[in-house]
Amino acid sequence: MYLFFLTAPTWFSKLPILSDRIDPMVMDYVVWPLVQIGALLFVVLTLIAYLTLAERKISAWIQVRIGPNRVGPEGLLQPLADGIKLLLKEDLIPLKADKEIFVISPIIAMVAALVALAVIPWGAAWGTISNIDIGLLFILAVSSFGVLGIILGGWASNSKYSLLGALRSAAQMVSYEVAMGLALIGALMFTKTLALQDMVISQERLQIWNILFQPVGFLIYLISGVAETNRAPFDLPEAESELVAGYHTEYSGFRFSLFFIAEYANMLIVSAIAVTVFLGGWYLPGLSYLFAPGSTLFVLASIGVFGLKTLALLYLFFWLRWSLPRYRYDQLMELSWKWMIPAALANIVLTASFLVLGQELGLIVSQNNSLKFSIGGYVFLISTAFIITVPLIWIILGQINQRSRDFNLREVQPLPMNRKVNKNN
Amino acid sequence: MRLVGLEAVLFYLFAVVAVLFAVFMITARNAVHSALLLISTLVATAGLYLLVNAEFVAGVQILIYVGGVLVLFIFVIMLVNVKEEDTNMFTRQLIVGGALSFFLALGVIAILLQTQKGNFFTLVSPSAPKIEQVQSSSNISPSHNISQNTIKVGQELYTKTVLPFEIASLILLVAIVGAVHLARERKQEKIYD
Amino acid sequence: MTEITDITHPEIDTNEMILSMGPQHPSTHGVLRVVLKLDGETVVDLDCEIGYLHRGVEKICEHRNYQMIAPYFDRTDYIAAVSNGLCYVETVEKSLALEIPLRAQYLRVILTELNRLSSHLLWLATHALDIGAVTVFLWAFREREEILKIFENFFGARLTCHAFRIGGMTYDAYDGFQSQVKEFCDRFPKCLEDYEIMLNTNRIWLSRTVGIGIISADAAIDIGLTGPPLRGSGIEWDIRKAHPYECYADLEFDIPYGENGDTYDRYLVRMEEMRQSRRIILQALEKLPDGPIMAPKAPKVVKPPIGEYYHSIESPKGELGIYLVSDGSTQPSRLRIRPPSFINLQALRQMSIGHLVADVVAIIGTLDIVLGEIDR
Repeated sequence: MYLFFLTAPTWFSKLPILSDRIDPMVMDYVVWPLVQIGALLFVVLTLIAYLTLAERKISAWIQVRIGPNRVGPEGLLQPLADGIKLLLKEDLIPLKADKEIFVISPIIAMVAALVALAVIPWGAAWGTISNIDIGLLFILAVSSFGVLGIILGGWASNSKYSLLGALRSAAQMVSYEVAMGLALIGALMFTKTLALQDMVISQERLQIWNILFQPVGFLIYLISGVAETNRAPFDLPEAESELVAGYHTEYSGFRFSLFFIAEYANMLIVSAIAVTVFLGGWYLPGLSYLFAPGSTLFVLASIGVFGLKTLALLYLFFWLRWSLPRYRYDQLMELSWKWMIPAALANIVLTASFLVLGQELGLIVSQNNSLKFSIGGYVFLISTAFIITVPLIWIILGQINQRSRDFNLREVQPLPMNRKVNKNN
Repeated sequence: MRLVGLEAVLFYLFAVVAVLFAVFMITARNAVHSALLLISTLVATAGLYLLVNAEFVAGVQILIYVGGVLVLFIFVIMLVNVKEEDTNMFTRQLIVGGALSFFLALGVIAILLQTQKGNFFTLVSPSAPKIEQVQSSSNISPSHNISQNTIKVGQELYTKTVLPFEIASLILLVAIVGAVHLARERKQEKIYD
Repeated sequence: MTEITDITHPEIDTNEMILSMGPQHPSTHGVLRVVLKLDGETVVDLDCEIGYLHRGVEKICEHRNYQMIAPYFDRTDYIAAVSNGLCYVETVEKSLALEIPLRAQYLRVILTELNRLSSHLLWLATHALDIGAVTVFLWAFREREEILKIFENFFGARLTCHAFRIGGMTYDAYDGFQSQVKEFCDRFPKCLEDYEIMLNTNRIWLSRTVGIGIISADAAIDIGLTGPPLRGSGIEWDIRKAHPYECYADLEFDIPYGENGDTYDRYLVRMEEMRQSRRIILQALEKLPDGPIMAPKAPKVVKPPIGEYYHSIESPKGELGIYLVSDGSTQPSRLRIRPPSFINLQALRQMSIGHLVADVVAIIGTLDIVLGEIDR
């Protein structure tokens, strides 16, 4: 049975100190994954802490301010100060709240967010902890698990308005999850596998990033990802100026920081999956010329490439939050059901048609569960994606939303001035 | 069949968790606690699916059941605000029910023993792959395998059983349309007219 | 007018819910309590509860001398303090039939228009913040800081300035006043363009403001709306053009007005008003004459003749009027303020019915109310 997937580098079981005392099998299958998990958790949790600082700094620079700069040089110790503050706060549980659920909901949210990190291909070879065959399905399942944490958090606040806010958040997350899943299917047709590391390898083999084949899919995935993580412009359920308080109103101290970590970890996962599926993961066209494929340096460089791409997408998240106003809740749901999902479905149909057409024309050959393109195949697929799929989907969306008010918003006309001003009343 | 090693440990863990939490779910007083315990049972079941190499079904179980169905259950429970049960657990009916279910369980076990014909206690065949012999699905050279489970499910579903599949989706569609129609109020109809 | 009779003991109605917004709420622009009757998320009825900021200003004014009353006006509409001060001193000057020297008039116009700019910038900042565009809030405040620095240099105070005196002004323009104002005006159009890039064609902004809070021209006149809410519905009425005061008759400027009477039109109207204010300031700076800043015949003891006097100006919020009943003594017999925000707030109910709860926040923002003025 296939419980274990070996990703340990060859030199690990031969490390001098430990190789005498521990069976190499155990070294490879038990100690190495533990090392990986430890390193990953350390790096990711620190990254999340510094993402909060990055958000504050980026928002400050956009708003002509400086941002935190008191604690440590340029504010670099600010996350440490925030963490200590949150840990030292009093642990409050509301009187009539359901104690078990109050305690467990931030835990569910955070665990669901962190578990998904195990299957993401951070780098080549041993850069991923576990390359299970249903990687993408696992991530979708786990993120739908995280919705529960939000609902229970709202419930535990024992306030009708917090509960309503939490339920609206959850409904929003579920709607956009559907759109995300559908958007990924288009890219799945090219990679022919659900395993995330194999997706990057298929892009490496084809020497192309999937975004060129699936621009619409990438766009839908990114927008749905922003909405899934309840970030602006889709953050009405938890905005301060709204009537309904968010799901984390009653949480303070360390429990609140768990929700916070869960939110940023969700952002990290959405960016990481977008990079893996659409932006080529750790693959960069010249990387295999610089380092020997499979060597340790190669893996480290690939981890660096992946990190840079993910950070670029995270910057996009922050940029969107501070530039755009907020959608109203019904507009947000309309965007999901009437724009994102029909576009994703149309994308699947069109992509499949063009793949079959390409196979008929002989430009694409499917062998051994993988695709092989000739130059004509590349040109055909990329050009149809941009020239036919994009405008066609735009037309379809226009037809569906013809009578929607938001679709027909008027353009800005210059104001009339000074017709005549009545002198008498 | 007798399980060995890690497989046995995991199987007993998941099985016991599933059964135990199901019992807790039925006897819980708070409806939200019941829903959470049902989620635990379903996750344990997904673990059992993983043990028989049905990883696609396991993933879909969590995605659909926990992420969809149970979320909706919890929505309804929270909105309707089901009150806690205050009834006394130990009534005369419990004794009669307990006796009845005991005899039913005896009957079911007898039937199982009959049909399995002693297959419960045979060893795993020695030619089955052991853990040490698992090939590394090495990430240096790609394997390009959709799991066999996913391929099989996909193929069966969309070729041999496509008619029941379509009928099932039609039924779901009818249910959704009916629900939306029932939920619409009079004045909304006036707006559409 | 209100159908929500008893807020504390509502009837148990399965369909409708009563929701209270405020008085402490980030978006009600002051201490305003709005009680909403909701059907699902749609507003069915709305009632405002005011009075949380009532300080009895009008009654206090009956026991003060005319010169002592002026600072109270800074605190009614605390955002447009200079404008309020202008209305008051003009009313008293009207009652005394005083002639103000030309230099004082031009300086008054410059400072009042600067105040209009700072008030509209604050409106833009808070309105955008309520709808979610946080960055515009901070950018607009950066511009407002410049204006408040000019006020501080001129009057010594940033917000509640006690700017003008009966008969003219106390302080003349300081050294560098003209260059500081001119520098601000030169920098300003680029800033307005920045705001418009962020908001004008932004689909999300359009979704949140187009078609929200519509009020027809007839309804606007019925309620008595003035200022940008009136002009946004297409009625061309601006007191600076209709009954010119100070030296507005000699200055060239346009009045923008909208067409549909929705939130977006009022937004456009106010943005354009900011441009026109800048135009007025630049012209007044050019034409600023030399001369005295205080009327030579300004009395030390102000005792208007017996009678009733009404004077109104176009404040940033609308028509601000003061109705003065004098009985010949040094203290007014009755001083009534016609607050534009109070009358504009009456339209909130009509504008909000049929919209969703999240729109009420946008509509309160577009009416540009100041609770100090409403409650006095």
